[in-house]
Amino acid sequence: MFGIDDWHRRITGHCGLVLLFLSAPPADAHPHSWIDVRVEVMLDSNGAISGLELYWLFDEWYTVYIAEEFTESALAPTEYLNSLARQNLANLAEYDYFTKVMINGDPVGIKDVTTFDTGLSDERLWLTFDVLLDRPVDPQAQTVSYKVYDPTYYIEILHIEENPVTFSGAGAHDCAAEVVDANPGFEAVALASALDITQTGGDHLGELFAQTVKVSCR
Amino acid sequence: MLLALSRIQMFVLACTLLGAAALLLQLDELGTLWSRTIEFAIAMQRHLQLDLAEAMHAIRAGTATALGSLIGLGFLYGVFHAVGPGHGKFVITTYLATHESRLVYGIALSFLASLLQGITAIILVGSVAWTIGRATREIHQAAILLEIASYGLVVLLGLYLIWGSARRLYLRTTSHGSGAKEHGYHRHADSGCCHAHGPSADDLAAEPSVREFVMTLLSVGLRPCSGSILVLIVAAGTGHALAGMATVAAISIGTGITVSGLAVLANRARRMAVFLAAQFGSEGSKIAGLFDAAALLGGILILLSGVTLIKAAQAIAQHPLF
Repeated sequence: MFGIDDWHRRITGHCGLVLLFLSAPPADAHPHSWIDVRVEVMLDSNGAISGLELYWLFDEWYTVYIAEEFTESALAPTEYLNSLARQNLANLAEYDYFTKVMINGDPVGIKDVTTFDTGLSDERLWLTFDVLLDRPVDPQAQTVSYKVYDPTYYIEILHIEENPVTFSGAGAHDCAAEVVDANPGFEAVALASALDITQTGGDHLGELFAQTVKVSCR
Repeated sequence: MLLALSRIQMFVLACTLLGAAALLLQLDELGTLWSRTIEFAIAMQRHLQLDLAEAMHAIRAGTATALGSLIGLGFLYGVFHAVGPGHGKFVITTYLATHESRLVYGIALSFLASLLQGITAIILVGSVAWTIGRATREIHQAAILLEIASYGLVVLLGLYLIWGSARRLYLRTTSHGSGAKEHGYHRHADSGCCHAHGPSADDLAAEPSVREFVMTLLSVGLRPCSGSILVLIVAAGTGHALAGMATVAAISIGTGITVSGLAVLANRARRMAVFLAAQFGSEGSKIAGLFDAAALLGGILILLSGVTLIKAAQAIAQHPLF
């Protein structure tokens, strides 16, 4: 027979389902653009994580989107791409560059990005930049993980399948990363949509569908 | 005849109850299935969108078969794009599930709304391209304005439905006992026909008015389909406007098929609820009151969704990368 807890969970589940069908889905609750991401975890001389170097490969649609802008502008290609990257990164600062690094589950502060590069490869726009942590984190003493996602889920950001995460710096060989796909439990999704009616406008939807990367060093 | 009919009804009722019980026990699994379906739809959409981009490149390169594959991909994109959660489906299915209407009405509404989304996209991109050139940022901002206008209409529709159902509920309460019962539910009292085994037509709200139809249609269709906008921008940029419009038509038809499928489900679910209410209810006016309450709830949900959607659209209007 079921225990009280089972029934409790079951009833919560049912309420979740009801809420799910009754609640309004956030606007365009599905991505409209995609970014492929590759990450290099940077280790300092002590083997502590100092930051992440992100490589974003935008999809062809976003590339077309910005390319149309470019044809209208009077700037030279590299100049235009650089100004676009600077603009985009300035806008992204408020959103922590869509990057969330966690120690034992708690988010770590992120510094403003100063180093970046951008260009086109195979008709796709790419952008690479360094996200530095407020303070270095020892991956041996603590559980470190990160997520890269657009909170509105307007853009879906997924890791490149081949060699998604690499390491550089002291002790890089002793480190490994595991990309865990999102498993948005339907109760979580239901709850999120239900909350949206009275609270935020779907600002956390992206996190439910985000990949989590677990970093570990020996 | 009567006996046979009621036996069939009993059978259907028993099946429904059994089905509902089974469903309740399986809900957790169903939930997983639901998330899987959404995930699958999102993944499919991603592939199709990238395939569409490739097909656009092929069009640009002048490949002979490109138009065919572009239209085919557009159709599939429409079908899958509409599976994920979105405002059009929500408004249409909530409306149909909580308001009395014929099946054909729901299907027409779904298709016309989907076509209108494509037409809005064509007019939007066409007019911006014609006046200020292919300025993608302006098109994006204009699309968001249209989105917000469309969600404003969702709010209005919700208010209108709330007003209508609240008024009906109020009238029913005040006129209770003074003739309202005469329209009551005629259980097995009719001459052996099968149409009256539920609240009579007078008890339920009348067929939707033209005003409701137009408001629902516009609140869904005014918002241009974003996939279509992308296709059109690229098509216009490469001098293949006609190919772009054909693809948009295919996307609209695909979307229409999915949404009308959901509309049929909503309509059937409502029929089933009316049928079940008739099996248990004893008084037509009470049942009708219950359905008015459902209509009121539907109006409230549509209103709330409109408010949420406006907030979310504002968030996207400030998206850091667009």
